[in-house]
Amino acid sequence: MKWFLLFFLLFPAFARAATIEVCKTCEVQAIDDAIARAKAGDIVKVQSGIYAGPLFIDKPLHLIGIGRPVIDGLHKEHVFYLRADDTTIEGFVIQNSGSSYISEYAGIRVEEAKGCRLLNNIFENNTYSIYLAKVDGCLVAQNQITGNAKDEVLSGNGVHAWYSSHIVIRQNDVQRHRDGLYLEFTPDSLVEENVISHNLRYGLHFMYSPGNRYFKNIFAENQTGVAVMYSKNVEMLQNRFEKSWGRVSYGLLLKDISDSRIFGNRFSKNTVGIFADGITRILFEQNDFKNNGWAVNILGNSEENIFSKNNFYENYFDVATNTMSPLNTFADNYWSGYRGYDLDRDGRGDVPFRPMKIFGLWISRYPELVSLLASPVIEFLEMAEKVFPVLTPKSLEDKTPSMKPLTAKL
Amino acid sequence: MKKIFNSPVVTIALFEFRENIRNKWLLIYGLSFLIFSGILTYIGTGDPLQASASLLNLVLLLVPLFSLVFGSISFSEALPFHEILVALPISRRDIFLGKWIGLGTGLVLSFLLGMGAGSLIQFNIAQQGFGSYLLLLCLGCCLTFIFLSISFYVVTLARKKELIFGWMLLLWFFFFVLFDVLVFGVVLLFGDYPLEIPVLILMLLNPIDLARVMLLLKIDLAAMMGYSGALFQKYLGNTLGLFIGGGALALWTLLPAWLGLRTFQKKDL
Repeated sequence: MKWFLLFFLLFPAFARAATIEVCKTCEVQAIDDAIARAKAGDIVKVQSGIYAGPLFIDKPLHLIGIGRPVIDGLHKEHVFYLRADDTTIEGFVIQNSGSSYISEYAGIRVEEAKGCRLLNNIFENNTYSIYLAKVDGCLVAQNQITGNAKDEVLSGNGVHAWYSSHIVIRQNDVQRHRDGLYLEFTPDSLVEENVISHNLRYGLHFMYSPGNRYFKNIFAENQTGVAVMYSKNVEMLQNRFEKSWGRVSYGLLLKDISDSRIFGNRFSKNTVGIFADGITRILFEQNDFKNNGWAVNILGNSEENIFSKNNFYENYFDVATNTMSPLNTFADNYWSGYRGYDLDRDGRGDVPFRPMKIFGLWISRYPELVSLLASPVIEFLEMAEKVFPVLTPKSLEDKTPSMKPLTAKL
Repeated sequence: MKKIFNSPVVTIALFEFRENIRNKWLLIYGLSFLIFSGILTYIGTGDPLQASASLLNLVLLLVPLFSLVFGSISFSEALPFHEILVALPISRRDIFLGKWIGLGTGLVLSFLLGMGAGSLIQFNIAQQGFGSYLLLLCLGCCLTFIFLSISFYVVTLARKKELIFGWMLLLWFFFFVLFDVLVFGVVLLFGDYPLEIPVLILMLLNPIDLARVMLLLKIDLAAMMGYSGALFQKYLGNTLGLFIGGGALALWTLLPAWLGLRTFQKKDL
């Protein structure tokens, strides 16, 4: 009954929506012609072919590409410039936006609009692929986004959201931009199941964007996987951070984040798995850290964070910090470097594990010491420190280290 | 060509080589590489990259130690024989170089055969990271000749034959352990200053450290090294770095050998 009512309510809208076809042999041959003829809410179907941009859309439309028509921006301005609510753009190849030091040109720029849907497009060779400015409620899904970023100055981001809210970015493939996804002042958004790789700077970058959720994304071979700054109430679940390997590379870079949850993620082959600077009350649970240089580097200005039930497999350094009195809790984690025993058979080691290696401490203070990496002297010092800790913080320990890996994910 | 083969250097080197390959200590040396490298590679992931990382400290420990001790003992025990050779119309340079080449070749062959039979056969040559394993082998050969030169030089300097063995252990201890402690101390003491260049120079002053850093850079641990790593990578990591590092290693080989030869020529046997 409910659906019936809905149908009847919406029926007039469907009835009014006309369809305009655009192709080389049709009556309407250019897309801007079609846009000019269309009324708000009409459908514009574009058959395959190459069409020139830039295109300006100022009324709600439904643009559908059939057989992947190509819209070429000819290196002028934005390829699509959208200033209308409830508009859909789907099924296009969008290429060659302008490039400029002054303006930020994009494949699709949406400005001051409510409710847009950008679906199943292929973006190639745009400075910014999708730029959302002051947009409320936009779905960006199943796009293949490939940038042309060569240096950080002239290049733009894959999906850029600025002063927007309620954005959903789902199942996109984003690569070779400056930042894969960039959310600034964009709260209450959802980023899920994207594959973000080979970006010059960050896979995902967000600042001042509280209340966002990031689920099941893959960040691979970006300079830094994810950089999260000045935000609250962030949830990061089941993402994979891989192969951010380089001199200033981090899997996940946290700066001034509080009251958030980082759960079930996997960090592998990063120089630093998680780099944390000034984070408060964050729960790190059931993450896997494998083959990283440093699994976690948490600076002394971080407090009341909890690391619990994580797996640390074969990282060069498990945990590093630069303070003698860290205020974070480590409990119930599995450490592949743990050599303790479990006499009472409760699955927890009877002697605490101290994940901080002395060399990890020294090397963060004196980076030149890296020249002694794998030197027998260091190994000896490490052994001495393990027996009789004086130089590493005593409070940084896991009193109940798990004897076995906690999940069988790896 | 025939003339080269008939030259006294080659004759002595060949004699030395034949003598050495029958030596039971060289056999033990080679066997120990075979066993250790075989086991380490077998229990490892079979990845040449990882294997070379774990074999690195074995090579850095055994090669200098054995080259020093074996070289010094062999050279000092041959001194009476050298007295006879000197009586013949053979120059001291030929005796010294012949001994050096023959002994070095024997050691290198033993090292390579041991490593080769132990781990090389477990790898697929096309595998990624094989280059770093080859680099490890090269570094091992360089270290052999370097420490052989050093041992020869010390033997020619030493007055008391009985103390030579002690000197060798001390030298090995210095290069393998004490030097790193010194570097560690220098970095901690002067950590407030930019130290990349001084530490880089310090690395060039110790062939063992140099070999280690060169291999680690090849394994791409440079990524972990931050800014200092960038500098190390710049000077020691790339092709230019291979030349700088290789040049330093060559200098380490030739300088003690040349000094030893000079002392040997002037020495009253």
